[in-house]
Amino acid sequence: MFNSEDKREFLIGSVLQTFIIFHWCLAFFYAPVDIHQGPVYRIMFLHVPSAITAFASSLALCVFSVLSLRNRSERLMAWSKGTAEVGLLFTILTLATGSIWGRPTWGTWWTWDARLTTTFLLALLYAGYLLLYGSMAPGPGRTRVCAVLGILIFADVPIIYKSVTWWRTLHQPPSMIRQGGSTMDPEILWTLVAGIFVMSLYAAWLVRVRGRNILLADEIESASYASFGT
Amino acid sequence: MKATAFDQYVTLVRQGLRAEFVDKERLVSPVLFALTMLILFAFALGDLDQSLRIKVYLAETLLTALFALQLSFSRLFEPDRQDRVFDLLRTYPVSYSSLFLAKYTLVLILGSATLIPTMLFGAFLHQSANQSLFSWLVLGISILALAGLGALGVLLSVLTLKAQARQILYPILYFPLTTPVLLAAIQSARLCLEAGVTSPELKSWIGLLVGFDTIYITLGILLFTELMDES
Amino acid sequence: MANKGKARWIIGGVVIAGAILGISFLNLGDNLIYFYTPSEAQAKAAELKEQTIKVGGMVLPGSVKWQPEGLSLDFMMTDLKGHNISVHHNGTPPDMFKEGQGVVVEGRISTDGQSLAARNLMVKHSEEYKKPGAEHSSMDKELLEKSLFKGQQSLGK
Repeated sequence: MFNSEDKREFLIGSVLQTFIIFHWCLAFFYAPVDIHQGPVYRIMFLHVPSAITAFASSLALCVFSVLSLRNRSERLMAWSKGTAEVGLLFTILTLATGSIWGRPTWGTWWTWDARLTTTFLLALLYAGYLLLYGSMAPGPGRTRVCAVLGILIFADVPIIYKSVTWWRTLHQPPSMIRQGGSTMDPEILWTLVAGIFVMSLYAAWLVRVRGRNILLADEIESASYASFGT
Repeated sequence: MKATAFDQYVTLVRQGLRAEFVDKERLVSPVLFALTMLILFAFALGDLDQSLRIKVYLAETLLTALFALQLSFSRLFEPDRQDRVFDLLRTYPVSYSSLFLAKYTLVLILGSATLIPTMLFGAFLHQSANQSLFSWLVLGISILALAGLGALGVLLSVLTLKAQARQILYPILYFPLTTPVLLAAIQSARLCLEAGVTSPELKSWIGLLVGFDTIYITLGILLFTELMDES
Repeated sequence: MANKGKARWIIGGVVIAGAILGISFLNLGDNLIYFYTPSEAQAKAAELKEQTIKVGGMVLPGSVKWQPEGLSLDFMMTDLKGHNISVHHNGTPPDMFKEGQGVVVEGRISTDGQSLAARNLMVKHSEEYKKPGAEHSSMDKELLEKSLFKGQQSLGK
């Protein structure tokens, strides 16, 4: 039932899962309770890595987009789309965990601080990218259009972030990460680093799996049209 | 004799204007939409506190006009789709920068034609004895906002040209991408009306607005030509 | 064809880089988020009196006077080094506003630097992560001050 490729993917996936479980153990048992927020701060170990992954996905999307413009390759379209999907997933995760964290600490489910606002806009952009992909016929035209959008999104996110920061800095509730990290105790810091590492690996693997799925689907579709003529 | 890039630009602008004036309804609808919204807001909100009046004025006029314009942005290349003008243009060795700048000029002309009357009419509706909402600087700021928004508007219009779900797709991409320009414009205009021209924050926001405009116009031209280039 | 494209991108890149550098070097963003300390504001009160400025400090405990009927708020803002400014604000204070809290007020300062008519009132917090076992359980006062006054720099000479 499983061929060797599937078995390899399954193995990689299982290894990554154990990494995740290990990280959750770190987050719950190794990292101490925070003096001000109590145990609820632990959601940071989900929130911050998701945020970093969500934004790293935009970088990956840009790289794939630039490559697909230069190489005119249809395969890169599949990878780009997979990256956008994974990016959307982690952006939503960031927003959800951020909201849940905000409720007990700031007293509100939502606030227009720079990071949340930018993440929200990034979610809209990923969704728009996927909408654009879905509403065009397959082909080099679509690849080019999506590539340009991918570059545009990556170029714009820092500008959005900076402008919202300047708009809201003085209204901002307590930051999630202190600038220097110097008041973060080592156990907390290391758990966070581990989390970033694990989640990035996981996201990369998701992109890989998804990209291969899309390529397979494209192959099947072209094969079915090809057999029509005979 | 091949026309220079500037000649191409002028011709394309004139062609665009002519195409716009053919369908007068397209021209007039954004203005009518914005003015109607102004009157509705005036009825719904009634008399406002001084402190609120500025914020409401800006939301009603600037934002409403820009939203109405966004609808016409998404249809910027509609005239070119008829009679396959767009494809013909691409086969002719036209300079793509000229094409972009021509559409962009169109955006600026038609956008101002919507934006200025809206802001003037709004100032008129909401004026009070001790507070004037009319300011040349605010009008200038709104044109600057149009400059940045128009650049991205043209680019997105081409990107979504062949896409199906344009009604929802265009705004979902347009508003996140143009957030910096909107923020800078609204903050500048608000500070101008509230604190006057001496506020150092005002100078900062206007500077940012100009900076953002530069970045967006440049990006717009670069990516537009990249998109149209087929080699 | 490729060369023309390259040239365009280089020019475009330079323009964009120029815009970004312009924004940073003119400190455009910084002007929006930095504020004066009470001592700085008082020292410069004469030249700042026509401008809307931002001043950051702490709400002096015991100095808050709030009148709900007129929505009128008065309090003393201090830098804990003896410089106090009396602040007046019309309107409801933000949720987190209380004595001993860090605040940033936006408004016009009087010529003598003793009072400020605030148009806008914002509450500022400190940011930190710590294990329990520290001496006190309320927000670390030093860190609060540091975060309040780390924004102190001369605003546009």
